[in-house]
Amino acid sequence: MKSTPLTMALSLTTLCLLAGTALAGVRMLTERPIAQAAEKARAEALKAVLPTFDNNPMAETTEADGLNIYPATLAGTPVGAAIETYSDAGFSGRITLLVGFRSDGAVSGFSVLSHSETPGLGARMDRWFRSTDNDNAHNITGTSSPLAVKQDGGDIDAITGATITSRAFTEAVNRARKAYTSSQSGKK
Amino acid sequence: MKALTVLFDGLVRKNPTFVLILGMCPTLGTTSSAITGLSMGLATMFVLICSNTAISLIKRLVPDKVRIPAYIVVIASFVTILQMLMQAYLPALNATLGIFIPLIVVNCILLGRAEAFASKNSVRLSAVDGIGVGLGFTIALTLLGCMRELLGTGAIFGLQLYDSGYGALLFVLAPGAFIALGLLIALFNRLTAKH
Amino acid sequence: MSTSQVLHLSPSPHIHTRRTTSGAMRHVLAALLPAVGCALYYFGLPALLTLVISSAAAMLTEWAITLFLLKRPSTLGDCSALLTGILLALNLPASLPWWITAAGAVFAIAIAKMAFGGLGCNIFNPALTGRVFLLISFPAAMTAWPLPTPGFGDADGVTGATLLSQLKESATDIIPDATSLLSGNMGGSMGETCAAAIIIGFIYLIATGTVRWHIPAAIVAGMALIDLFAGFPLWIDLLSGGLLLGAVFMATDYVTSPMTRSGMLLYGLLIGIITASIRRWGIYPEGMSFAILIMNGATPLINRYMRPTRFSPRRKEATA
Repeated sequence: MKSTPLTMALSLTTLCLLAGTALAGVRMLTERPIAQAAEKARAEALKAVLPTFDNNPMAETTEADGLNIYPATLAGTPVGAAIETYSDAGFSGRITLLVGFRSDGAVSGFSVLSHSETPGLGARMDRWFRSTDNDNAHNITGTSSPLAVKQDGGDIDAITGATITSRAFTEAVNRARKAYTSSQSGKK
Repeated sequence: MKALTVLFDGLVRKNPTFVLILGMCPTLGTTSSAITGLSMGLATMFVLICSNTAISLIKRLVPDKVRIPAYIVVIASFVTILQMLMQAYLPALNATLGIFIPLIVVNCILLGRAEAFASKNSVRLSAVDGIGVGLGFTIALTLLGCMRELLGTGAIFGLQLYDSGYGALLFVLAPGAFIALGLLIALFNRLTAKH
Repeated sequence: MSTSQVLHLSPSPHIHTRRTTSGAMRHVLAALLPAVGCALYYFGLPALLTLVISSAAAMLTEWAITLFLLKRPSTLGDCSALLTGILLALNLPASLPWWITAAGAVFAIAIAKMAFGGLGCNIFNPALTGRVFLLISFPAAMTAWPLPTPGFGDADGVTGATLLSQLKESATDIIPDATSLLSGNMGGSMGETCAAAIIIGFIYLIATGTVRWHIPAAIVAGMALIDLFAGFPLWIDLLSGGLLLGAVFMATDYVTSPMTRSGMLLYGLLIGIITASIRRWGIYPEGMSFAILIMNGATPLINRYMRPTRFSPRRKEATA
C-alpha cells in the first residue's frame, strides 16, 4: 500500500484499535484466574511458614516497624504470625524473607522470597538455615532469641564461604522478630 | 518454495541461535536449566507463529513506511496475550521466566522473521517459517540449557545424574553461558560443514 | 650480470638472538624452583600431587587438542603447557581435590589458550583464567586454605583463614608477622606464601634477561599509590596474597602483556591500582588475579596506541 499520511494514519489507528480490543478481551478472560493464582501462591507461602491455622492471614494484615504482618489464628486464638522482612546487607543487594513465628516467639518456618546472592554460596541459604545437619548448628527453626553468626559471637554457623549473606539473613530474621514482638506488645 | 524447505531452513540452515545468532539475550539469560530453556523456546515459538501469520495476513494493508511500528504492535500484542495467559494458568513458570517473557517483544528473531519472511510470503509459508524457526530456537535453547544444567549442577530436567557438589558453578552463571554457547556453535558449524 | 652471485631474499628478522621461546620458558621454570620447593616443604604430598596433576592435565590437553582437533605436530616442546600447569597449581590450595585441579588445567589450556589459537594468540593468561574458572565454579573448595605443616609434612586438611581474608572480614587491625610472611609459614595458595622464594626467582629472571623490571616495578608503584591514599602499610600488601607471584610470573607473560616499555609501565601501574583497590574496598579479599585478567584484556589496546618507534630517525627539512 502506498505510504501517504492518510493511509499511514488510518492503518496504524485501525491496527491499534484491533490490538487494543483483543488485549482487553483476553484481559477480561484472565482477570479472575490471575487473581486466584496470586492468592493461591500467597496462601501456600504462608502455610509453609506458619503453624496450623484456619483464618485468612492476608485479610487481617497489619503492620509494625514498617513490615507487613500476617497474623494466624486457630479457632479464634492467635497461634502466630508471618512477617515479610528484608535485609539490604546481602552480598549482592536486598534479600526478602517470609518468617513465621509461633505465639511463644519461636521461629516456625521461613521462606526466601527474593535474593540475588551467588549460586553455590549465598544462594544456599534456603536449605542451609533449615538443615538439621551438624546437630542443627545452622538451623534457625525453633530459635526464640535474636540470632548472630559464630563470627559475631553468636550460635549460628554461617554458610561456608558466605559470611556476608549469612549475616544479612540473620539480620532480616532479627528485624522480623523485633516487629513481631512490638506488634504483640502493641496488642496487649 | 516448498513448505518442507522452509521448515528445514528454520531448523538448520537458518537456525536463529547457531547460524543467524539472533535473540542472544534470552538465549543466555534463560538457559541455566533445561526446563527454563525449553519453556522460553516454546513461549517464543508460540508468539513467532502468531505474529508471522498475522503479519503475513496484513502485509498488503500496511503502508511501507510504517511497517516497523505496525509489526511491533502486532508482536507486542501477542506477547502481552501470552503473558496474561501464563499469569493465569502457568504462574510458577511465569515467575521463573520473569522479565524474559515481556522481553520476547524485543527478541530480534521476531522482527527479523517478520521483515525477512512474513512480509513477503504467503500466510501458509509464514506460519511454517514460524514453526521452523521457533523449533530451531527451542531446540537450541533446550540443548544449551541441558549442557549448562548438566555441567553446572549435575542434573538434567531436574533429574540428578551426579552429585551437585561436582558441578562447575560457572556454567550456571553468565560467563558459563557464553562459553557453553560458543562451544555449541563451534560444534554445530563442525557438523553442518560436512554437508 | 654474473650468475655466480645469488641474492638471498628473506623476510625479517634479519638479526637473530640466541633466545628461543622454549629457552625463555625454561628460564621461568628454573626461576620457579624455589617457590615449588617451598610449596613442597610447607604442604608436603598434597602439594606434589596438585603440581603433578595440573601439569599432566595441561600437557595432555594441549597434546590431544593439537593432535586430534587441529591435526598439527605437537607443541609440547615449547614447555608452555608445563609452565601453565605449574603456575596454575601454585595458585591453588594445596589440598584441592585432584579432579578440580585437573578440570582447571583442562579449562586453562583448552579454552583460554587453544580456543584462541594456541601459544601467542591468547589474550588472557591461561593459568589465571583456569584459577578464576575454579574460583567461580567451586567456591567452597577454592577458599579452603590449608595451614602449612613445615618439614615436608602432609597438609592435613586443617584449614585456616589467609591473612588477606582476615583483613577483609574483621574490623580490628591485624599486624602480621613479617618473618612468617617472608618465609611462608602461613596459610594461602601453594606458591604465594613464601615471599623469599619468589624474590629469588625474580632476581634470576632479571639476571638472565628473561623478564624486564618494568612491569613488577610499576605494579608496586600502583599499589603504593592506592595504599598511600587508603592509609595502609604497603609492605603488608606486597608480601601477602598472590601479589609477588602474580607480579613476577603472571603479569610478565610475554603473550598477554604489552610489547613496549612504556606500555609495560602503564599496564603494571593499572594492575597495581586495581589490585589494591579490590583489596581495600572490594568484596573479594584478593584482587590480583582479576586485576591481571582485566589488564590482559587492555593489552591489545595498549599495544595499538603505544607502538614501538621505527628505526629511521626523523629528519628535519634540510635547510640550504
